[in-house]
Amino acid sequence: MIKKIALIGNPNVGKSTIYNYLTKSRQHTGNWAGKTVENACSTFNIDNDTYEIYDLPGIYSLSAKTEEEMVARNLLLDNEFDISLVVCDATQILRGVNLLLQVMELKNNVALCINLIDEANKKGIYIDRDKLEKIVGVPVITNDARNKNSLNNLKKFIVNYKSKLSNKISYSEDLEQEINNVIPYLNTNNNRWYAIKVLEQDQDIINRINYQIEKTNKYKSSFSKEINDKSINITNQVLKENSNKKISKLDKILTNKLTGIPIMLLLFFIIFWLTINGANYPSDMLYKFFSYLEPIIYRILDNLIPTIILNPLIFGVYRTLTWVVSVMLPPMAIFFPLFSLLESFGILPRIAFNLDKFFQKCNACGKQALTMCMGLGCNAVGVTGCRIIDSKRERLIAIITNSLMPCNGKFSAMISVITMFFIGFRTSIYSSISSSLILVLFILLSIIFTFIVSKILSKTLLKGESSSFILELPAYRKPKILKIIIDSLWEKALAVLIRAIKISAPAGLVIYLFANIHIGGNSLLNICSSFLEPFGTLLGLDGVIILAFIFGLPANEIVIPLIIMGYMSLGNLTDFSNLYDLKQLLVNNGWTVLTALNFLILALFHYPCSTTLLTIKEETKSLKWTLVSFIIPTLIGILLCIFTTFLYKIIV
Amino acid sequence: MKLVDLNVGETAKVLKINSSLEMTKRLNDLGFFENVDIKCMLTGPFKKIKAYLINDTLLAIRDKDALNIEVTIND
Repeated sequence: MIKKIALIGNPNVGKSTIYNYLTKSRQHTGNWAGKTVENACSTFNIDNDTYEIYDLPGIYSLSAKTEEEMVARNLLLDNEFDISLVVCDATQILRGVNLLLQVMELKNNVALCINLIDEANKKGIYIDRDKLEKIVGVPVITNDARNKNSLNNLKKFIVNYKSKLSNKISYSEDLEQEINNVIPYLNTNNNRWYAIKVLEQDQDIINRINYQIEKTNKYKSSFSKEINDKSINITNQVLKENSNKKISKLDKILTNKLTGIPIMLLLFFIIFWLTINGANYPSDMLYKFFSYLEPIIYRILDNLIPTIILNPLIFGVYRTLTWVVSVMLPPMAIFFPLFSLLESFGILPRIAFNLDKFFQKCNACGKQALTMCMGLGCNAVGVTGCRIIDSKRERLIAIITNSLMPCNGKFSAMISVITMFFIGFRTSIYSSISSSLILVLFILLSIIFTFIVSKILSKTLLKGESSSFILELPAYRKPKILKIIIDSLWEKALAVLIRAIKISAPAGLVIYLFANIHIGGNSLLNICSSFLEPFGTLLGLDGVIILAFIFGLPANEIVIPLIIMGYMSLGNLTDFSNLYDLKQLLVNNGWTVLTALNFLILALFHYPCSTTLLTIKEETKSLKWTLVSFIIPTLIGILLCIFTTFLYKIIV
Repeated sequence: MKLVDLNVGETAKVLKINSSLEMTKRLNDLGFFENVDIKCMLTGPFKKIKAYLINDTLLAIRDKDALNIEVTIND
């Protein structure tokens, strides 16, 4: 028989870590509130039993006033679970007890897992588990989610769990009277719980059971207040605390007026520097390796496959694929783990805290800083992450502006152009520092435009005042470095790489065909790029580059290989085996510093990739906002390029 | 006095939450109720936002939102 387990808890208490451990899967975990926005479900076996485990989004209550609460509550309402495991943070035991009492009101077979117990003990917070178990009447286990032994105990706890009816909370007399007045009118499997929700005027429940009492706000928060009083009472009985309520030195430095922002920029600089410096050599090696292999593969296959099929496969598919692998893989393999480390340490909410004033000025939500950071990894992820913003208006602003932040796929293209045209190839400290600086400058440009566009949206299409929000600044957690490195490589880098490979193969084929199918003596590519040439010239670029950006809609990573193939097919066939030869190819095709600069600008600001667009459509459920998200960055890119070309012509 | 008037390092008791229903709910979710102690911990580098400690949780609240919360300073 399959046993069903639900993991219920506040955001950021380690539910996903427990879920990942039990199911051996790799749900993304990070140190900030709002990681899981959908139910995740997976199965695992202990001995001969199969368990089905549901990882619910982080919630504070079962009031269903937010999307996460709605998703989580519906799942609890519509399913019977063998264990409803409430997970809480030992340093936040009050909130955990509060949620536990609410879950006990709704479900039987409840248990409490007090997570991160070691961290709490270190801070001088001690919890009397036995006493707590006695008071609440459900099994309680303490756990350190980052300790294998402790997690093994949790497994045993699950295996040995005996079903148990929950004690229901008794409220004050008049509330109990009201509940009893409503119950006779209901016909559900848990009349008491539904009666309370009806009294709280919970619209979703009222619609569900089609029963409404007279509209009154009288009891709207009476129940939650009494539950909270009870939770405080319970917590006071089981909690021993010697913690001193001093602000950490790190927070003082990170949020200081003089040091806060520079440190954050420095962090980004260091990440980019490590990425560029570290990726340079392996990228070059991979590239050389693939170029060396190309003629060998060609010769072997030449005897087996007719040339008409072999040529598109080698010069189209193989070249695009190998470029994407050699240029993307090394930077990704460095950037993603580094960024995950920052994330799990707890830095991102501090960035949001520091930058909040600017978001206030734009009438936007301070949490937008978090979604921008996510966008650095992948815009589609950033757009989904915008769910952490409650106000619909502010969420839309965050979604629309998300693709102004360059994602990892854009980085790789930008890094290679920066290296070729602004730095040179000598891998000296100086050159890698300056290319990182240039990249940080471009990120700054992105941030500035995010603010500008957010402000304009707030004054025009999405008019409104900013609504209230609370930003949690979680305690710093020492990340498990090795695990994070492996997980982020596995889960993020590999996933993104596979997606890029899937797209680059057919795209390489299409552009090869474009270059080699001739109409009236002219290749299709030639016809298209000459058609786009005037527009390209206006932007300080050329027709081939514009065409590559158009073909690059499915993935930013393939823009450069498409440009290369375009040039090669136009007759300037250079035999190149490294970045230096590549620069020659570009220069031979008229690239100047202006071309390189405008390429970078356009790489930074153009429409989001197709995956991101689909995600935006899904999140906004609106074609209009998807279109707006398409137009705005593109327009910025075009206008900026026209502007720099104009300046360049005056000066040079 | 208002929550926003609390200086860094000062502790107060929450008297009344006059925020919107939604904001009140979110504050309640995070253990922020009337009669709870609150300590001002940090000011944003560009002001306009402060971080408060409540039940061991560090919460950042914009000054304009902290205007709606009445507190009384502890001795």
